[in-house]
Amino acid sequence: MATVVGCATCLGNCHVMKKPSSASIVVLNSLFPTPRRESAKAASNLVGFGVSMNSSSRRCCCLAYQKTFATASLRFDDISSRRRTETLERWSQLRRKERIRCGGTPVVVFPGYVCAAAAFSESSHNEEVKESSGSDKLRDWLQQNAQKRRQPVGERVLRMVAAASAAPVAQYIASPVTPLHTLDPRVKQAWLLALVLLPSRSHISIRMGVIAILVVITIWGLPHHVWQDQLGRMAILSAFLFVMLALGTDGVPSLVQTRTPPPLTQGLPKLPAALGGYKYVLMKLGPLQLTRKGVALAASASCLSFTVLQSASVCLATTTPEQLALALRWGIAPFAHIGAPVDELILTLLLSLRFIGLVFDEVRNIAMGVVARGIEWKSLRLTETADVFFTLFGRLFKNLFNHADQISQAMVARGYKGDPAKHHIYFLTKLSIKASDWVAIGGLLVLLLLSIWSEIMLPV
Amino acid sequence: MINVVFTEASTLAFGHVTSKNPNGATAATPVAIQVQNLGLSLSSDKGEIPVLKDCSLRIPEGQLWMLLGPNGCGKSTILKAMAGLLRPNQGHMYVAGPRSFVFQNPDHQVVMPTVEVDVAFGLGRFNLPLDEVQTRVHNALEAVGMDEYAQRPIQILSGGQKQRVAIAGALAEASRVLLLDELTTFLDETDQMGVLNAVRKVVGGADPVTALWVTHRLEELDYADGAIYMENGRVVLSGTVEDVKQYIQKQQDQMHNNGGFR
Repeated sequence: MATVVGCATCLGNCHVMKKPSSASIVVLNSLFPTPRRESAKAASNLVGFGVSMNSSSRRCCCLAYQKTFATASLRFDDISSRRRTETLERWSQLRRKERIRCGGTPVVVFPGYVCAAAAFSESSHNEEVKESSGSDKLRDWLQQNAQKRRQPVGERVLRMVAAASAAPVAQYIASPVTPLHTLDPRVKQAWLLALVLLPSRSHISIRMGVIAILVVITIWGLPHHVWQDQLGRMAILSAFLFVMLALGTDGVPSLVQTRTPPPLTQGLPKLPAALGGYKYVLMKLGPLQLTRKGVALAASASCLSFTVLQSASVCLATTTPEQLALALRWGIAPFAHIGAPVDELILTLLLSLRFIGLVFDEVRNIAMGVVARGIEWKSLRLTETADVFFTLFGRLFKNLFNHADQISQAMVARGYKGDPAKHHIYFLTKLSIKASDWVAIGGLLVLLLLSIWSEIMLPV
Repeated sequence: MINVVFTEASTLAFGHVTSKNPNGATAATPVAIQVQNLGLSLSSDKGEIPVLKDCSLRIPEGQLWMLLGPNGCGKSTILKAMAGLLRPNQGHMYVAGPRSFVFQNPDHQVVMPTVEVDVAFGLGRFNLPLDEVQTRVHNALEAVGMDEYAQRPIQILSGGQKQRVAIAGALAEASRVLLLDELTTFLDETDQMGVLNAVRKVVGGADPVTALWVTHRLEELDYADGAIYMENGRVVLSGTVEDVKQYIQKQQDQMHNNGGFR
């Protein structure tokens, strides 16, 4: 039997049943909205299970089948490349069968997914979790990319959407509760505002300082796998922006205003080199050149992107949507005196935050539905592919309007009479400034003063 | 004549109903839901389509009843009429209050981003002190086995967990009647059992809560105190679970004898 131990896609909100060990399989949820204890239990009842390659990552999908003939979809990672190869070999022998007898238990193949009957015995489970070597991983990655490139674009897009994680980026992480969770949401919003505004006007040293603070806060406040994932993505994005802007700012010749000196100046003696060793062009790389302007712009853009996105991620990961809405309501409450629809705004914000999740789910469900139909994308012309996508968009909006209609009915059934001012939203949290909040406010003031000082005193 | 009654009071024209309890004994029990000669038509391009025809049923207080029938027979429609979401054209109806409706798809029912705030959403109309709201939310989540999930985002819950949150929302309103529309349709066996046990626990609790549960799953009948069977917009049978099981068995035998079609 497979031993289910936990997951990594839900940003720490999963039910970790046991610490991963070499004798266990880490089960991740691929196609269902969330990793579930129930799914885990279902997996532990399995006699056999199918394994399929996930098109968007190097993880594998496991299509499990229970006695009740209800399918549960799970996935596990860290499967060895040898096991993967064996699985695919078995699959190649069985692919034409829609139903495969596997270890005495029927396995239903999701059409469109590469699925294999993998009748692993209990003893073989102990071999599942093995660290692949670096060269194995690289070879697998290259093979999978080559395989992806052979797929038509439409199929690739839909498979990518269908296999996407249901946990949205920057989802609130309820546990473990860190000191960041206990901070007053108003203080967090003030910090967020400062971190969004300060890097655009501050000296480069302050920008770097803000990034360092953010990195420390992220590592200190979030679980290990979450901060690694977040900081990794942000580092890649910032590095990409830096390189592109640094090399590209003055690398592309201007079409409107040429920098070539006018003919009248020709024949003049060459300008002497700057006494302080100043050079506008720092480095030349063929047609590209690294200039002072390029470096300054690249540093600003990458710092700004990092601080804006990462501070928002940290704030959202440690604050519930309702706490944020409550803090926002506190901030805009004075405008109610001049007729601003504060209650409407807050209710709309909360409903929107809930609806975003439904939109993600609906997109994923539609993509899964199309993948399951097994469309022959290779036989479709470009216009026909576009037609399929337009049809899907139509279906998506129809379904979303249907959801909205049903939600409005449910709200009426739950006593909402259409007037947000008369329907009190209980946020179940109190706004209160504690000692830790005063420390955070003090830190924010110090940052503001440093920023002002650097703007005045330090050279540009 | 249209006479639709929604009242918060338990005393009504129908008074008490004589019903057969699961043990076969007859007892006078206060009635929670009573419907007489109910008719409902929906308008479409082709004109008025009768969906409910002369439906009558009554459900005693503090019991869990199942409502069964083929697709399109009017089960959900009669439930929505009881919840006040649809207006019948004729007949009499009494549903004890406060009552709550739980939708088939929990994604439609659960409207707030976090569990505890969603459970408290239905209390918004009552203007209660925060302490009482917190107590009610805690008790409701505890009743459905979700008290550990109070701070969790809805988005990361499973279908069964969302369904239990939806039921907790109904319980927090201190509802005397739960109208439950095919709660287990999207759920696997484990989630199905979790939701069934949660409802059974509430119905069997100290406060008399009555539940009417629309279902297609015959195994869920084992959890019920009584059952109703509908066909073509009419209530054809209302009685004990055994009566309804026998009726369904007869229908299945007939279908089998006719080569699988009726």
